[in-house]
Amino acid sequence: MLTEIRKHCADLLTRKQVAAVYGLRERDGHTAPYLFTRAEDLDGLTVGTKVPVTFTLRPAKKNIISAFQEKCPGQKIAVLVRGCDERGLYEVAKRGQIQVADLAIIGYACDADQARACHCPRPHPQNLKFGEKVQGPSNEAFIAKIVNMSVAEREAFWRAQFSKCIKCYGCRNSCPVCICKECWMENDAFSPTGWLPPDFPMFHFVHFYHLSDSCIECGACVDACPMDIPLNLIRKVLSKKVQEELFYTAGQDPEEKPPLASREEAKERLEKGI
Amino acid sequence: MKTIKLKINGIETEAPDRTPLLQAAERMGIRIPTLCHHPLLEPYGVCRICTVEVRIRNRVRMVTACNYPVTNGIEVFTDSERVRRNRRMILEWMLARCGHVPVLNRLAEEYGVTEPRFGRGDDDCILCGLCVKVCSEVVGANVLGFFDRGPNRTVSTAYDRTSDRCITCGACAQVCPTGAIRIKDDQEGIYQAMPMGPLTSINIDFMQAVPRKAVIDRDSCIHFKTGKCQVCVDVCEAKAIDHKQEDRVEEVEVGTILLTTGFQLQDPRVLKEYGYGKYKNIMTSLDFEVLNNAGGPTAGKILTADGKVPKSIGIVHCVGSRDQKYHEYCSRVCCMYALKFAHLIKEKIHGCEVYNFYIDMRCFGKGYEEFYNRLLREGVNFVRGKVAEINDAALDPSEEGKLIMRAEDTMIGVVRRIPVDMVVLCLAMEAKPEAKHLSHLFSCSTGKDGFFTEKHPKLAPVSTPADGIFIAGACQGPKDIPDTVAQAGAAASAALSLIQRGEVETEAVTATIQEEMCSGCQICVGVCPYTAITYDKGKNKSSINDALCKGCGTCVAACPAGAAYQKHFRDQQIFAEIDGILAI
Amino acid sequence: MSSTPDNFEPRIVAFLCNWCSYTGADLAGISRMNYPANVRAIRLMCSGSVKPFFIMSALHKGADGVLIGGCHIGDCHYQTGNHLTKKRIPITRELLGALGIDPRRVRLEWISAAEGQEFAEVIHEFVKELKALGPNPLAGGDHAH
Ligand SMILES: Cc1cc2nc3c(=O)[nH]c(=O)nc-3n(C[C@H](O)[C@H](O)[C@H](O)COP(=O)(O)OP(=O)(O)OC[C@H]3O[C@@H](n4cnc5c(N)ncnc54)[C@H](O)[C@@H]3O)c2cc1C
Ligand code: SF4
Ligand code: SF4
Ligand code: SF4
Ligand code: SF4
Ligand code: FES
Ligand code: FES
Repeated sequence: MLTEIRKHCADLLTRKQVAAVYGLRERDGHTAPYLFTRAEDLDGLTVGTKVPVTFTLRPAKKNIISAFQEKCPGQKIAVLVRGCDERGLYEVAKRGQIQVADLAIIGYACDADQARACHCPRPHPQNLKFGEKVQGPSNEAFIAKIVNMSVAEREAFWRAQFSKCIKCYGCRNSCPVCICKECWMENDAFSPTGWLPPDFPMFHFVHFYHLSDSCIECGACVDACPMDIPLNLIRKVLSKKVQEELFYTAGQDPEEKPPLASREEAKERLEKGI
Repeated sequence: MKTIKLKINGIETEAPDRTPLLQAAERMGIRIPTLCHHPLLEPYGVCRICTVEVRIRNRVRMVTACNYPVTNGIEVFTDSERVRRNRRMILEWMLARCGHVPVLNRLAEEYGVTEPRFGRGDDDCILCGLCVKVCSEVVGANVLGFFDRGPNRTVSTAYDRTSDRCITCGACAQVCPTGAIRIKDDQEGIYQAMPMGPLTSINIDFMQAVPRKAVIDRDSCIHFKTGKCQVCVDVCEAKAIDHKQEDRVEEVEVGTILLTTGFQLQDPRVLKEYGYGKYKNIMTSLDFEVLNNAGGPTAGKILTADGKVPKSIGIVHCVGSRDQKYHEYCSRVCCMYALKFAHLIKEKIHGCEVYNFYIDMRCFGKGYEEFYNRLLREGVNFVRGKVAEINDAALDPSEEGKLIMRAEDTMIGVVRRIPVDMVVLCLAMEAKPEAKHLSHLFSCSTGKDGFFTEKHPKLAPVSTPADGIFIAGACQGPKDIPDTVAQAGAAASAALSLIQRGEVETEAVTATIQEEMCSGCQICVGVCPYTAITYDKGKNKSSINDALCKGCGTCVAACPAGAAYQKHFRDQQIFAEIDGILAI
Repeated sequence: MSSTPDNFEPRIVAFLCNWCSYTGADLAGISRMNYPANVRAIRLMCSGSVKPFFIMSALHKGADGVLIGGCHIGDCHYQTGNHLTKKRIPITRELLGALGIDPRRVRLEWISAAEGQEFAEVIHEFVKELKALGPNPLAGGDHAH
């Protein structure tokens, strides 16, 4: 698969169909996002490693795509995406951070092992070009753990979990769809600086609520958390509620407005008359 | 146009060249009999009753005045012996066909035809053709025509069938000099056949209308049906009629608005037990107002649907009001106008029995209780009880055709059965259905009952929560005219005091975006109901137009970064409030 | 939590929109309707300006219940402010529930300016429900600041 992808990208660059290819590069045993502008560099291109999503905006509030689009407006770049990468692109585009129209999205599928490791329900992009679609693991089974708890049990569970938090902000910084400049997690009136562990559940409430209609379930926050707090448990409960209540699945339809950013009712809701 | 000289009955006169002789004579006050002539129609010259004697350079001719064009130097005799002899002959022929038509007989008498030589026929139609011509020339419906020849000639519709081109304007019946054409009224009754709508196609809505101007009712105006007629245009001396006028939408900029959109009467049909629409002599209070009005269809006479003077009338109070099934509230005005009705009936119809069915008499105003006492003296019957049912189930022949009202008289504790000729239902005043829409348009609110809500019942009774928007009258709740006028006066002066000041103070609660915190996500743009927020692509920032922002704070709550804030409702203030109220 | 004192009086923070619910609450007062004194109102211009953080904060600071009152859908003084409320509150409640905070402590009610009676009824009901739930375990927070 990798050879074909490299060949395809080299083709795009030499035929000048795109100004650059954005993907992952492996060098000296490290994998990191890279903007390829010369076909000969493409030997370093890699895919599918367990590298958290490619397009995280933190900390400079910019990623390579938005920086590129700001400098060279209207120029096309090809982007190599997995399912989560593509969903992330759509969500940040809806929030004005990048222009999807100027991207040539080239998708590849993750394999079943990868999907299981990420708890990813949709381990393939819509613009699928390379690889075979596999079924992701079910969210229902995953969240059953807290769904089946009583309210009091959940409280006890999360009190214990969040008491481990060292406020490294890794969950936030690794999130590809978290775009704010000023962050409420740093708001003193809400969760004061210097308190450790943060008050239950204030600090985490911000993270959870703010991303409720943009979380693409990539799992980057959990991966980033040095204290192994299972943040994705709540993330997935909320994603489910957003789907059921607001008929919205983050990262799915690039044209659909995020429900919490729109005055309109979901058309499904109107159709059902609820 | 050239003017010529002529002599009529020996008198010199002038007339425009080639005007019809009939017109020239009429201008001199000389009457020439006519039958087939009508000022609105082209002359036809078919009945020949207008025959006169014309002398042109010593040549004498008998001509029809209605279509003979005058020329210079002619001499005319309109009533010479020869002319009279001619007319007698014509009348004899006509009587032979239509021996009993009044216009012909009046003329026959005038010309001394007593025993027509050819006998008297039984037809009504003198074949003047006015109907045919009015239908085609004026109305433009072309329904009528002549059929057959000679003695069999008739006027009719094609194939003698009911014509679907007939617009039932009645113009043919109107011009027919003999009454041979009658418009059959398929609908029974008087007030029901002539409902609240206009009585003619061009009319003044009602005597107190403001502005008091005539308007054309497009639905019944002939011109809008056939493209012809426009008789009114010729008749109007002020040249005020313009059929091409269209509705115009005009935009007016104002600083204050008074909402006085009033009420509607409840639909009587929902109260099945009262049989409105089923029995023709059951009417709403508003119908009765129309019937009783001097400008109404019966010129103010109180008549039943068959045009008879009623001998007994039942008036039902509180229909749909003070009723958990419909409106819990009291409509306030019904008791008093029901008393007014009773009084007017007593005044207009001597000996008419009036029954007022009431739950409680609510005579709350100045002089009202006194009016009630006066009615008691006038012999109006008051039955305290809610009418259960109205039907036409007669028990004996004397009750045939009457309406039977059943109600428990709670004063004496018996169920009464009262037959009457007419029933008036005093229906609830209710909020108009469009009030809801208006309340959105004007940012005020409606209450549970649908009427507009005032800002404060005691301290701001004509204001609404929206600055510069005032309410008065029945749109705020049921009330009578004195209360409406008082409220309207108050609302007008409240509006005037704003106008005098020249500005409206709005609460300074608009929202602002702190540029340095804004990430340009445009979430706020999507949630603002007033499109007050614009996104600047160059800067990648959103900003709020202060003049458009109404201060709802929706964007503030939506902004994940806390970049947007609302003046007087900043986060710190809310948190402090939460702290404050939880400290006690 | 298991030992709910008999005399437990829940404290309710009510975020009420200026145009409907606040006026409705006012009407309940003007009309001399009885309702428990457990509720404390914070007036906002529109229910659409209630940040979920305000709700979280009130609970964290010791409120036993939070009421969000807005105009009925279609009646919002700002046309669609409450459409956002209608979307945000269920998500907020779900999140609270998942975190182990009983979502019944947060109530969204549409109360028009004319519904003084309804306001009083809502408070009666809410107080009853909160009494059954007992004091809010978050009260006071972990840090007494
Ligand atoms: C049968 C009956 C008898 C009554 N008799 C009496 C009586 O004897 N004495 C007495 O004091 N009171 C009487 N009343 C009460 C009286 O009719 C009301 O008090 C009065 O009509 C209220 O006046 P108003 O101007 O508020 O409303 P309305 O008379 O209803 O006038 C409202 C006006 O607003 C117009 N309008 C509505 N919506 C719009 C819009 N969107 N745009 C523009 N224009 C609009 C309507 O066309 C109408 O002209 C009687 C009522 C009834 C039903
Ligand atoms: S899973 Fe975590 S990192 Fe990924 S989008 Fe959701 S919140 Fe962000
Ligand atoms: S916590 Fe919320 S406001 Fe802060 S950066 Fe993340 S999404 Fe933005
Ligand atoms: S406060 Fe309301 S009206 Fe003003 S800009 Fe924000 S959303 Fe728009
Ligand atoms: S929601 Fe906030 S961050 Fe986003 S554009 Fe509006 S003001 Fe800026
Ligand atoms: S802040 Fe680092 S794990 Fe939560
Ligand atoms: S003004 Fe009441 S909910 Fe918006």
